[in-house]
Amino acid sequence: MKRTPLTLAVAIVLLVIFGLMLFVYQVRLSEVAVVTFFGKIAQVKTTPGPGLRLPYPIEQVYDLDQRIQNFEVGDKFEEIKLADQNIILLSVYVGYQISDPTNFFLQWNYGSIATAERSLGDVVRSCKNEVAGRHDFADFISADPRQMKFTQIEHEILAEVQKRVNEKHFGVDIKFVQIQKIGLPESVTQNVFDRMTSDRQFYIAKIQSDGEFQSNNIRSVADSTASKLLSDADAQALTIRGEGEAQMMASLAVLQQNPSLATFNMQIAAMEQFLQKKTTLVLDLSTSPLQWLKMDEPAKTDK
Amino acid sequence: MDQNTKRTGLMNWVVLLGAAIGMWLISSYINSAAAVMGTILTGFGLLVALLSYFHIGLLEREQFEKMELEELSKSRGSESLFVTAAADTFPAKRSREQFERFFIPTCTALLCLLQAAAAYWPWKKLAAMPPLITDRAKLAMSLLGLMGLILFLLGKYSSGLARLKGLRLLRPGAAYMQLSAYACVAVIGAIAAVLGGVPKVDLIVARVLCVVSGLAAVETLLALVLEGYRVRVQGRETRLLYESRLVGLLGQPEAIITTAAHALDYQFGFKVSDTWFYRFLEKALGWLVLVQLGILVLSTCFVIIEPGDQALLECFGKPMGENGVIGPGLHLKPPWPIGRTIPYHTERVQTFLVGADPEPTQTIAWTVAHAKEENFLVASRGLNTEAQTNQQPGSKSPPVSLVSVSIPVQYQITNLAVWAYTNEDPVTLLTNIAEREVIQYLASADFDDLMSRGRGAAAEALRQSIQRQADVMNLGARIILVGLEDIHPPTKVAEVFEKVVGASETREARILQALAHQISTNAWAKGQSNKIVMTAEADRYGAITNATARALLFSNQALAYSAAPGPQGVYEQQAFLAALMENSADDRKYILGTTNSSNILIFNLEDKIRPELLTDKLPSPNSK
Repeated sequence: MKRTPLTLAVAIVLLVIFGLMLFVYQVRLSEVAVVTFFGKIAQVKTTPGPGLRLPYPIEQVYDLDQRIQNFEVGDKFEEIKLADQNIILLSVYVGYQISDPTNFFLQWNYGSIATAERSLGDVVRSCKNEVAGRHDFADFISADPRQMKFTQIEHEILAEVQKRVNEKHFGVDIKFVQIQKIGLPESVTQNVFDRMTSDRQFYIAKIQSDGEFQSNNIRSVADSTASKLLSDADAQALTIRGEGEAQMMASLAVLQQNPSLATFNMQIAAMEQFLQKKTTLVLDLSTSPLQWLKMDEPAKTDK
Repeated sequence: MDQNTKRTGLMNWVVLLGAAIGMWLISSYINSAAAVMGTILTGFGLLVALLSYFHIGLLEREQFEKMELEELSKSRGSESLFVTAAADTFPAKRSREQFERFFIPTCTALLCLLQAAAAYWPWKKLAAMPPLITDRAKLAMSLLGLMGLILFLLGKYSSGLARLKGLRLLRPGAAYMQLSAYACVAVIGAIAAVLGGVPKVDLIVARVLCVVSGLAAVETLLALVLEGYRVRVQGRETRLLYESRLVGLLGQPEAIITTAAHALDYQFGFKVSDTWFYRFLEKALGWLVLVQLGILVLSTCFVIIEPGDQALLECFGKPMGENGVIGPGLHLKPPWPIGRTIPYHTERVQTFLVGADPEPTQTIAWTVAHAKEENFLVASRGLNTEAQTNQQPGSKSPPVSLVSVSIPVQYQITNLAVWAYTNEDPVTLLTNIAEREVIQYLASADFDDLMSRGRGAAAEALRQSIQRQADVMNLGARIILVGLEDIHPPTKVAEVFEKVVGASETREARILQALAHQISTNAWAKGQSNKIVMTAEADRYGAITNATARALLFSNQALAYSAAPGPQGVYEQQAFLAALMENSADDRKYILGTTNSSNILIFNLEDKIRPELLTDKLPSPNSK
């Protein structure tokens, strides 16, 4: 095989491929194609499938996505003053669909989605600020869900945006405008933190007081119960002792049978008690049994 | 050297100029890094082709000069006049020599610098380029293909001419044309890869071309250095300084096969290149490549969808079959670029986050920031309903709190056709919907309830509301899970929230301490009261027993007493003396022996002071 037919075959294959690329274009189900002939719109193909075209720069094909596009309006939160003088940060996202491809193509830099979204974003921002400014803070945030007007605010913004977009013939149909984020300015956020801190400190104080209260209650009850128990015991002890003494009195009758002996016994017992501590006794020789120490007298016993 | 050669040289640099401009326009048109490097390499080719063209012109002039001189000498009939002629007799030859001696090395050095700069400078700069504009890719690919085809065919033609004797000056430009043609193919491949979903390929191809430029710079530098030491043999054809062997090799891949064949011959010791296999390979290589290309195209007629996936199958952009959705398995499809499949993970559970994306960490503590916090407003049924947020004096607003959340949302695609054809960016839309529902839910939720027992109910309510909204938007997705695991107060106030827990613990501790006190106090009191009662019982018993015993004793004593009654009786005397002896043994006793003297006795009855109190030495105040 010579080189010439091979080169020819390669060239034919490449030419077919490049020819297809230059003369045929495709439209997907989700797209619509705008074909321009020397810059003038020649055809708008809305049905999916292949189409023929002349090569660039004679004809140019611009594919426009007909699905619902959604984008966030602005990169960041935007401060909005509300009807009740509050300030919130609010951002929304928008869904739209190309409804008039020719108009869209002509108005937005050959159908540039980015350019269209920039302009649409300006319209939505304006409507959002207007509508939000008519509402109070409680319409956005409320502990009672019935008071909130979240969906109503979204509908109001959507109606306003649709009205303006239709007036300006942007070639799009606004499908939805929904709130994406709500926030508070940085300075206010610090105040919210302070309030949250105070709120928790209240709970802390409440819990601590409750603890003190319960603790003291328990201690008081315990001390009272202990005191009552001791008092009861003392009373019972007195009763018992009284009973004992009453029974002890029965033995006195026995003593009464011989009072002189009983008296003697008691005196001896008293003397014994008397001599228990350190006692100094000064005795003379007349004290029994010291009379025996007298040398000049005979013992008494001898008498 | 004939007029045709000069025309070919002219054609070479004009075509390369056109290709460089075309490639530059395409690179700007689609933001392709590979196309930028293709432009630079084509620009080097233009420089080389221009040098080559001027070189051809000078040689042509020299040839004319020589012919004129020969004609003149024939007409004069004498050569002696010109034998000793001065150098200015051959101005064209001298111009050519001056051109080769000074201009070519200078231009080659400049080329070397440019090649080195092209290898170094774009390496990082190209990475910072904006992403390739895929919408314009088709036109760019077709233009690049056309340019590549023209460059390839003309390069082939020029390199064929350059093989003829005396036309070697066309070779450097031809090699660069072919290299540019292959660069076009490489750029097309890179763009196709980007369209196929591998965006990095564009940068990789660009960097490969950077490496080619760097290698060419090294080769040019070596050629410049070695030129000074080259042995110059009279009559021997010298290699052009600006001609790159590397570019020639890359521009003519078949030369690589020849080189490889020579290497094999040398290695195996016999002519491998003479074998039937090598000859077959050499002859059939083109067809083999074509067959391979055919197989490549054929392979695009089949598509395998992985388990758990579905794909949209389109023919000329139109969904095939009922709604264009095909399930897992092998499927036939029209070849590229007519047929196209776009796979999606339909069965696979996919996840996105609402709120902060937490960093991977072992412990998630409220007081330690574990993500870039995103705080959401929460209504607070606070203690002070008049609590102020940011309102002006006189206005009333509900108290709000802030909560940091990281909510994973899991979903599945249930209707691929609806998912893919209804919304341009369904994932972003679903994320926005989820964010909106979370914000709306939190805006009316109670903070404390949400943080504790209401968490499960909140997760389910959120899942249902996101699903409802996704259905309204016709997304074709099923929300599987909304997780409220990572929801906590912002880091700035988390500490005081933890202190609430601490306070509860302290309260419990105090109550327990009081209970312990209660138990111990009551037990002690019970014991003490028992002791008192028992003591009293014992006392009573002792008193009674004692009284009984005394009565018994007394009865017996009465018997003894009756035997010797009265103060002078033995009983009393014995009892008295026994008691005295027993109890006064340790007492101090003074006995007055005389009773009739007038002496006055003075007794010092003071207690004796312990002797050590007066005699012991006390330490001085300073001593330790």
